[in-house]
Amino acid sequence: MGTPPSTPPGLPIDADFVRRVATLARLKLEEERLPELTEQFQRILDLVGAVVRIEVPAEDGSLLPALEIGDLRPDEPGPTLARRDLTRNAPAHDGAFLVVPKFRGDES
Amino acid sequence: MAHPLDGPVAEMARRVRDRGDPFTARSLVEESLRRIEALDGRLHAFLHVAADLARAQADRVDAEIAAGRDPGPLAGVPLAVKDNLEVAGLPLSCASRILAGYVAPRDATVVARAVAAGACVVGKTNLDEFAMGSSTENSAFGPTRNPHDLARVPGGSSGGSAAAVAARLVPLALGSDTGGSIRQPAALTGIVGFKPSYGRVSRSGLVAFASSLDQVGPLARTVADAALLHAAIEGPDPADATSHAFEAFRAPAPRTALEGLRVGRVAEFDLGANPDPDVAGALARARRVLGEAGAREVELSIPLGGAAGIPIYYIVAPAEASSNLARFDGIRYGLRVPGEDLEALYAATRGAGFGPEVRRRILVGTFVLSAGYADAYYKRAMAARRALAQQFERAFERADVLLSATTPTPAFRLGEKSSDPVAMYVCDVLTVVANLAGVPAISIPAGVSATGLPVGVQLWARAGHDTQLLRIAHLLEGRLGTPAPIPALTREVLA
Repeated sequence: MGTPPSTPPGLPIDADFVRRVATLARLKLEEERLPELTEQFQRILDLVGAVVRIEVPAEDGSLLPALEIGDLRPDEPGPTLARRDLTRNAPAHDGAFLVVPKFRGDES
Repeated sequence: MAHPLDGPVAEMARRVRDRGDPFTARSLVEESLRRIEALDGRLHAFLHVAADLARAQADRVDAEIAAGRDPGPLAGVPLAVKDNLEVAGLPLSCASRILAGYVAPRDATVVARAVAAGACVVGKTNLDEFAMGSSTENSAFGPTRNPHDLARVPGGSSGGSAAAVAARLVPLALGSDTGGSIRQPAALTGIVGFKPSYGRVSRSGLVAFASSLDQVGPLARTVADAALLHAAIEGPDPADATSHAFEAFRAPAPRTALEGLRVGRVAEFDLGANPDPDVAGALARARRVLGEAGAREVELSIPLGGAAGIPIYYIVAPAEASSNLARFDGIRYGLRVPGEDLEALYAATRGAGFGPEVRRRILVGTFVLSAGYADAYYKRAMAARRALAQQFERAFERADVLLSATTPTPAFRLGEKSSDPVAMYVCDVLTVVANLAGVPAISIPAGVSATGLPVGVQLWARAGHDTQLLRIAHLLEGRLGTPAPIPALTREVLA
């Protein structure tokens, strides 16, 4: 990785910016809490923005030593949870399938 | 005369296994349940007490013994389980409203292994929602209180497990540690908390927060007790591809005696110009005790190991959290808030189901992974993380273990930091880098403050040297002579 910028990105965070990120994150936010959340989001980004001042070596493509994984298990079918174990924890199901709101128009 | 529940775990299990001793697994479980009934109304360490399950498991242990079979090294020992680990048939909430009504269909590998070794699960413990926090105040079901001062936090996110062990409700508990969530609450409640090397313990059945950082470990009153639980749960698991046996890390064998031990003093772990006097005093005493035992102090620098680790951690962890928590969408689990279409249902469910801190971290994680910002934040943080891990590797060429404080201060007051997320994040300055580097670390009791609050010190070792670290921590614990303090409220109910 090249020479780091001398300053953090210094992003101007406003409520509209937070709304856009929330849309990406699939989070509905309460409008009355947006000012406080915007201020907190700005402070968190100021904190983590310090990462741009860290001198790091060029990308070497290596994994972290601790993240090198062991042997993968054989790629063979094995026991799984039963369908009823999965559906009984769902908020809506018809016994065999999860029930979701209609998301395609009538194509007939 | 002390109840066996207050003695060493090995001794309590030995008595249960001794057919000539009238003491049984059932009697241990009943005593644990009695204490929970008497004290947990004030502590709120448990989200769910599993009395029926614990009694059934205890009766199985006693039946095994009566039949002449050995139920294992944890025979009859009551165990509390953090409520982000699956226990078949019990609710699993992660202290979040989004998992309302969820019942685990299976045991986490660590739970299955502990039960196979004879442990009896007495309940699920409180935590910061999805393990995101340092005080257990982020639980959707209310905070846990520190048994040494009910006006103070027990730390987090495994605060329920820590409070349950510290208050002598159970001798052992399981926690998870993504940035200090076992070690920090252990220090603030005066007990032992061990985060194993990444990959040493299976994460199968642990609800993922940050998959490259999460690790399950024990909380206990002594290092020996923690080591017994660790021995029962560790080892490769086909259900977790990141778990492995660490043969590559075993040579050269590190020292396991204090005489001649090289103890790293890392400049970046220094407590600063105005340290908390109780924490600084406990750390200085630990250094002196190690020196008197023949250990040699080695001055080291891990440039990214101190405050620089905070921004790295608070990019990597939220990035992984935002991805892992995408699965909670109102379709497959728990809560559903209706919406006019699928997207509106997702957003409404997640907005209502997640608490403020989880929402903040999902937002930060989504942002640092988004197009246009991922290079500046996430990729840079990962490069810094690699550099940090290499710095740890170099440090362990010159030292067998590192010694530091576990926390900058003793337990803070409930509400003191809960409105300021950045102030809360900075509390993790002495713990997060162990997770970033994947190395094992343990917090042990090192005395109490002038006001009676526990203080811990932390030992760190090279990845894979978990057993050796436990041995050294056991030796230091013996030399320090500052066992886990008994809270005043616990004395009210001791048998």
